[in-house]
Amino acid sequence: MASRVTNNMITDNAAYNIQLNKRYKDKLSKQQATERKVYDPSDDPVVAIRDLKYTSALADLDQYLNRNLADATSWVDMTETALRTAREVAENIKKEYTSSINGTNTVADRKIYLENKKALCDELYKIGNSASEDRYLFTGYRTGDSLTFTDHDMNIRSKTNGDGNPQYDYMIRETFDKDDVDSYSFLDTQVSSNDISNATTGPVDETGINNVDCYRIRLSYDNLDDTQTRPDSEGVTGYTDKDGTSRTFLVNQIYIAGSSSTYYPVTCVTKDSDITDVSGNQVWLNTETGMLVFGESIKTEIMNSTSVRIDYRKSEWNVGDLKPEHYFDCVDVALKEGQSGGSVLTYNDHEQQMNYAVGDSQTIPVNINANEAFDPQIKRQLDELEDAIKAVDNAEAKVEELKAMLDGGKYTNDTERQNIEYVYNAAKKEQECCYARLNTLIEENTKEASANFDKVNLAATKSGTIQNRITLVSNRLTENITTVTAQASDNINIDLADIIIKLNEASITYSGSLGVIGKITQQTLLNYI
Amino acid sequence: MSSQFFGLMIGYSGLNAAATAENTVAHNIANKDTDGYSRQQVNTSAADALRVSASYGMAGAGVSIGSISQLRNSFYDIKYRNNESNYQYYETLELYASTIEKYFKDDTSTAGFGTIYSQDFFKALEDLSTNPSSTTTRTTFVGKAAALAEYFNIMYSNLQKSQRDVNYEIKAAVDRINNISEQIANLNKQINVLEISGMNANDLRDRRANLVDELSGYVDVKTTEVPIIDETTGHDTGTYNFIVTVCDGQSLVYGYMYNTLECKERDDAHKVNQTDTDGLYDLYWKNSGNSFKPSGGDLKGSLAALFLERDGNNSENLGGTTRPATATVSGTTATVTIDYSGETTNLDEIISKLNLNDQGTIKLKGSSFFYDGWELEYDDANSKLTINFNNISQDTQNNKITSVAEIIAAGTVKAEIGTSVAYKGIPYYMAQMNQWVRDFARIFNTIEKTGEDLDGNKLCEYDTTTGTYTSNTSFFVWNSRSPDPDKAGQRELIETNKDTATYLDTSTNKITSGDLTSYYNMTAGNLQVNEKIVDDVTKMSTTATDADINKDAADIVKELISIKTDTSKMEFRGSSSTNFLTIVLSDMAFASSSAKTFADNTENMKKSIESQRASVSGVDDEEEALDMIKFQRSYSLSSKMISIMAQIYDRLILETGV
Repeated sequence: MASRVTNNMITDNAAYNIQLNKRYKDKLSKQQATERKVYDPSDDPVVAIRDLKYTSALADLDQYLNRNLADATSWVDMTETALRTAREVAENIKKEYTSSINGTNTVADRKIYLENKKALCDELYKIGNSASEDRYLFTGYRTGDSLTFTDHDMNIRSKTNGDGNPQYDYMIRETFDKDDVDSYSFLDTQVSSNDISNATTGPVDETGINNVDCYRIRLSYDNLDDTQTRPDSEGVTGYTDKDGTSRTFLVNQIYIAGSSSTYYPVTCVTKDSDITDVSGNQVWLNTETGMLVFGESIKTEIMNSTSVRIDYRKSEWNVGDLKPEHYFDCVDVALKEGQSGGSVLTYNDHEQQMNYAVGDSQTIPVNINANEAFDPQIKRQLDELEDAIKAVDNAEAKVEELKAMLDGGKYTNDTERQNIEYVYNAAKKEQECCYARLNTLIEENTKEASANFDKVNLAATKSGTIQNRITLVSNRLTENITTVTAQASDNINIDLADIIIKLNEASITYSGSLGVIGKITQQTLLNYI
Repeated sequence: MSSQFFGLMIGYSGLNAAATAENTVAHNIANKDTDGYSRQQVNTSAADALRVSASYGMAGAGVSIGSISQLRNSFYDIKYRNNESNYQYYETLELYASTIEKYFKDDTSTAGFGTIYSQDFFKALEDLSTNPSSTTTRTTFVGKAAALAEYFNIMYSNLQKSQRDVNYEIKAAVDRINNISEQIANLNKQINVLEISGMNANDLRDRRANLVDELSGYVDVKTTEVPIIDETTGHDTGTYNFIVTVCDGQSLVYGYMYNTLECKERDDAHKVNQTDTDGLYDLYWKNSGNSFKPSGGDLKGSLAALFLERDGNNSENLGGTTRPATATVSGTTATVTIDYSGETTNLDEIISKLNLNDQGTIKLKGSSFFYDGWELEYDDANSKLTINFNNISQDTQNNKITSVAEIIAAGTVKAEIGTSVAYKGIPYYMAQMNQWVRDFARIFNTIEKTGEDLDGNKLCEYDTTTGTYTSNTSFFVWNSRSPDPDKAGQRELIETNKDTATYLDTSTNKITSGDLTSYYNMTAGNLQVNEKIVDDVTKMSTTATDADINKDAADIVKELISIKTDTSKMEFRGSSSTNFLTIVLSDMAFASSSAKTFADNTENMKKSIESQRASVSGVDDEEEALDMIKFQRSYSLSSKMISIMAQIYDRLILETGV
């Protein structure tokens, strides 16, 4: 039997169907307004959850591209600019050396020769203090710590440490290898002012002045503390290194590591002429010049070794000196000396690499460390040069003085003249030796200046390479963002045209059904009876 | 031959029948749009014929009105009510599922978890990693961390509010059910009073059916009518006992009597989940005091749905077996050790998932008891979890008389803490949030605590000789709202994980309910960033090595960033920490979308059953109009008949044979 249909059933059904139609239109209009397929996740859980993933992927890419990479770019830009200037300065130092090979004939020449280079060296180190937004560029994570000591540093330490105490007091551990060994010579005795005033008695002749040939390692600092001491008084006998191993400072020893690792005794002197013997296994440390001097047997030992290690203490620091923490493992005990309860600062990590994340597991190193571009030896070369020039100046002055004595006609006694002649010859020999030393040094330094320039140049190139990498990564990220945006849009966004067509269809159905139900309910039998 | 006056009477019966029919039509038309009204019709039959002792046999005696009955098919009632229970069930589930789903919404217009955590929080952390010494980046990051905490605080209170709403709705539903059962019992009486005299109480029956229809929306309903037999005579009285049973045969109305449900507020000691709001209702039958369970099994109806939504913990409550050997009884109370029966991996995971209130109910061998504290101990070597429940005492609200001593004497028995409800309701989502928040805060704090603040002070230092912490700053803390001022305010936390935090106190592998330093206390609702750090951002750590020197070292920040996607750092249900929303939202979205589908289906079904019912019981305009005309005609004819008869009498009496 066909089921009976009443008017109420028709209106109820029609109302329900119109309701469904309205719900559909509501959904379509929400989609149209938001341009998204899904309004609530339950509309289509799969699409909604996929959308969350795309959104977070996009946020990551955006962070990498517009924050991290932008930060990296500004950092590397600053670094590159600084290093480009540093390269120019290093090149000038190099030129200074090569262009004035013969610029050391007179005292004035030598002075200019030295001063020019010193000025350039200072400038180079100043570049090492470049900062980006108050953060020093070349000091690793220690962005609040300048590369060289500044007036500001010294003032602060003067206040905290008080008068009479050193502002900074470092125990430094420096490691060398066989390439750092150079030949060296010094005079076992010099013509002294006494010798000159007593010249008439002939206290010295040319046989008394001998050039001692030996080898040296140039430490990164001079004006070291007199004896090699650990800051035992502050309870510091060593430090913990980067890997967590305890290290004890060496006292009056060097350590040569290699097939036969051995400790050798070190004797401190303040002038080279105090060095008595370089034939055996004795190592000498000239604390004034910061030179480690030794003879053939130690040299052979080092040549067969992997590394040489020495610990030394330096409590005398000047503004403009490079801070050792950026180059070496070291311990600063000045704060503890200066005040009770002050802390001991341990620096055990000087090659800090700052990496910026630019992808899920991709990082870019952004910083150049000081030791890659600002070598302490650049200044030390000049120190040594200065000493050599001073020696030449001295020797020259002595020769001049003795020559004046001979030519002045004051001394007529033949024996006296003969004696003065002896001293004159000794001074002459000293002068020749000093000249020879100076010339060797200039030659060496010229080579080293060239190597230094190469080093700075390499650092500049490296930061240029980083810049290139950043560009590459940036291109890739931009491309990724485009791809993911497209995928995300495919997933969640609706096609407006599609929606409008659907909305039109729904509207037509809607008005149609309204018309029909209106017609149906308009009339009943009552209209006819 | 029959009486000459007989015809007049026949005419009268016709007139009467037509008038009654016309009245019924009028009644039908009047109730055309009345809810639950069934079309009535007058049942007539030819009246008993008279034996007139004539050769032509019996003489027709006109029409007799048998009854006015309603056109109703009880089969459709049953179908309608079953469907209505399902419909209201899914409709309610959908309503709350979509509400919760909206809370968790995260898109371009609403900033949700994904925006606040995966994007903002880590953006700030990435910025911090490229410039850790700057107070600007630090402040920004701390701000974002606070926003994350606040997000969870708001979500938590939203869910608690939803739970409270559900609870009020339960109360409202129960009031309505009580009201309906009272009305049904009254109607039963009125119907029987009428029907004992042989009438059909059509309209009262419609009203009663309508009430049962409404009732079926709240709970599963079954109705039966049992004839009342007169005990003295053994005769059928023609009346019925109308019986309404709900939720699998629990009697609600029996004839003129009805049972009332009662809502009793749970006090703190009765809390099931740690996350529950105060004052949740438990239902009891008022007369018997037995508890009433509207959910479980296949039970449907909106009340069942409300309970699932309010109590649904996905059956993640703790359960196990008692260990009678270590139990100690003193008087009416006892301390009992429970061996946890589920799988465990480590104490941290257990604490993160723990949704056990510090005091509440525990079921031992099916009987309900109280506990007022617990101590949780984990045996790493054997991966075994044991829980000591203190002061287990008799639940006075529960009538079953079993003492703790009896249970312990019974040997190893099953123990269940809280109630297992196999639905992902509000407590489930709250527990999920707590789990994530506790894991996240613990892992974040553990990493932070390996570092130093900008002044070079260690965030956390444990002195092994004295066994105390010389410093302990947690980045994320929980805010205690305890009335006791000694226990109120932000509380520092202590990590117990042995593997990741070697500098911490590792002597203990247990936590107790009163221990304020445990991550158990932390919920999404009380998570906060340490005020010390908010006030002074230099107090957070970005590096583990000499932060006062290596100002821009970002090792800790980088490790913190790895929490984002590295599942070996933080894992939430087999996925990375950022997938919290994806996982929880998919739970919700699928629950909501399947509830929606079922609600749509049952709504369709409801429409179709309503149509079928209307097809039988509905009033149709045309039919009634036709009937109106039809009965008007027959009325006219009958009255004509009477006037014809009158004329016949006139002829006979006045003119014939006079």
